[in-house]
Amino acid sequence: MAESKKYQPDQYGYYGEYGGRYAPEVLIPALEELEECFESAKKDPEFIKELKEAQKNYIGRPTPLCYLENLSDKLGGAKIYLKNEGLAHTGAHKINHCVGQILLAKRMGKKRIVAETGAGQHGLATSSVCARYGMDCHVYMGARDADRQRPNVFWMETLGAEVIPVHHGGKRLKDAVNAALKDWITNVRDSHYLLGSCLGPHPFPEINRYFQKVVGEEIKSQLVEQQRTLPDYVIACVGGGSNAIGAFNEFLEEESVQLIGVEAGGQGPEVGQHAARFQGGRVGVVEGYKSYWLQDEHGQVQDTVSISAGLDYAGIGPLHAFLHDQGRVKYTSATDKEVLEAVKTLAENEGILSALESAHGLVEAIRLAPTLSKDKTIVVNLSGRGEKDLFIFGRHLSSSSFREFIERYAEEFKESDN
Amino acid sequence: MTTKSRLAKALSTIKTGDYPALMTHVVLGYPSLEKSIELVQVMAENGASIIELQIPFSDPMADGPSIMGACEHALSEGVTPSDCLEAMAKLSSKIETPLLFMSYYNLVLNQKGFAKAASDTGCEGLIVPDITPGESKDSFFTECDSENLPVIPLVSPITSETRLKQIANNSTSAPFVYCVSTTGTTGARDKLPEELPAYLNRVKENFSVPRALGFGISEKKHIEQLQGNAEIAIVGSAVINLIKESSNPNTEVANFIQKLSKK
Ligand SMILES: Cc1ncc(COP(=O)(O)O)c(C=O)c1O
Repeated sequence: MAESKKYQPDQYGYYGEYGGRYAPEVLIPALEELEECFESAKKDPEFIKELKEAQKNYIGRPTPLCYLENLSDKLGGAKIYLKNEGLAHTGAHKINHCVGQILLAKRMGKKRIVAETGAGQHGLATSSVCARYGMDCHVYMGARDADRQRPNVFWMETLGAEVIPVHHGGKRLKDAVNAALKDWITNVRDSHYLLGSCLGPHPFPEINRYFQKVVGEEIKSQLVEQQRTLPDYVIACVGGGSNAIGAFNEFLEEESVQLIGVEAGGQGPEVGQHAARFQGGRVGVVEGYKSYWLQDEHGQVQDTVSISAGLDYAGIGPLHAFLHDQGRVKYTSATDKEVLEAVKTLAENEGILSALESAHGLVEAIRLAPTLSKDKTIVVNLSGRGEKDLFIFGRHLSSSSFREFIERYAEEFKESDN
Repeated sequence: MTTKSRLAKALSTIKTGDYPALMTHVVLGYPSLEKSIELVQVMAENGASIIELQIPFSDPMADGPSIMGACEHALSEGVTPSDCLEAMAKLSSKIETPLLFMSYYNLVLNQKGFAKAASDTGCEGLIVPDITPGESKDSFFTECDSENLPVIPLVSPITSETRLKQIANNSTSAPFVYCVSTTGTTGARDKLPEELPAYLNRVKENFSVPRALGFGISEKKHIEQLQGNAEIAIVGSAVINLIKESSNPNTEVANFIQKLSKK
């Protein structure tokens, strides 16, 4: 089921008209090498064995599928289940493609890894696998993101990675991808670009889909085990699109399952105030692939706004563009305000802390559940846990005691250094 | 002479073994649209054989800090692709030096009929580093073909023998081949890579057209080193750096171009 032809790329790496390989000549040999490596690895029982072993014992798969009884009762409609990728090692689904890609890097004999990160979860997972597999790790992060996701910067450095803040453009995920691509262009002979979502030039979107699809496979078997049905809805947030593809892939050919991707609605629908590519984006080619891009009338890529660094991105993975045009996946958005509210709701009712990114999916589930009957089932992919967002939550959700603590701690920190 | 034959004429005078001809570069809108147009004229008057006009893009993947910074500045000046087409039209009617556009594919894609528009303004070729022949289903290459607007093929030191042949076959109407000196983005460097002669020789075996070497050339001695290995030397970031630091860019650029373009 997962290997459905309809949604597979053609020989050039296009999903319909989207995707492709729009890369400078200097990267073409590396992309070809990566594609060959990936194709041969998939057929190699040793590789699959090593991957499965790491999924089980390093990542901690399968992650649980948890019925949210309190929240479902409270909303009074459909049953809501949570696929808790926040319980995967390093706290988000990103580790799934990081483990897969590091094994590919090893297979290609690459020793140096370059990566981009937005929320820092992909960077954290990359730093972790680099430490484990003995690779030299360089992570580019928009300067703005490095500030708002400071805990992850600290942990990446602790894990031995070099974190390079990017001061160009909007200092966000898009600019980090750009900088990482430039590093790869420069060091392509010995480096692997461990790209962190289902985007970039072919074969990256396909590679990350392959390593993420385990999420949807588990959802299916766990739900069958728990209540002997398929879900009626699967909902996921969409930045570049890796956690959503992971959750959706298994169900693409199950027409009864409705799939909903939730984009960052940011501060509101005005141009430049959000990162909802399907609300104002246009077809473009940037960062190596063709898809919907938020851009001005001339084709200059636009700045985006979102409280979640991981969704604050002007482009979207090419398979999503295709699924959007095909009408197979419906895309909605959630605003920053709704997202903070949803984090609180989940914490208070279920004792689970959601990452800001993942809470976009929750917003949609909370909207949808009351409109459905009790025999319907919604699965939300909780792509990551919320600890990384401590400072953002601290500012938006807590009482003044958190601020007082930060101020006092900063003072003590300063004094202890002298 | 129609603009269409200027490039062919310029290239026909270039012989392998001679001191390389100079191809220079500006970012339209850096330091301002007007000043960049003036700079093109200065370059033409002082010995540039071919000039590349870059249309600024927000996310220039193949450019290093100098050109990227210049593009950011040009965009903050409000320069649009239509301004750049107008600039091209103005320049090609004023000077005889063949002119090319360099930009990124998103801008081309967004401007319907770009190939025709560019051709109509007197542009004699396009350099678009993020689309390579044989890798895309888009009609870009055929559209340029039907306008007789050549897309300059790019090769790198790690382009395989098979791909060199493939690229040569895919670009039979190319007036010259752009050889990227090293793995990396644009930017002035102190030294050219040592394996350059062997690489450029491989290119010669696969292409019958002149070889233009770019990325990293910042001094006259680099161009001297290229004699016999490449027919054209491309200077980009070094000029941007000069402009950035200069209070009188026209004069300094004139002197620099004069020095680089003569043996
Ligand atoms: C927890 C979490 N969820 C979602 C995302 C968005 O990425 P994607 O759309 O590729 O899943 C990120 C990215 O940083 C993330 O950290």
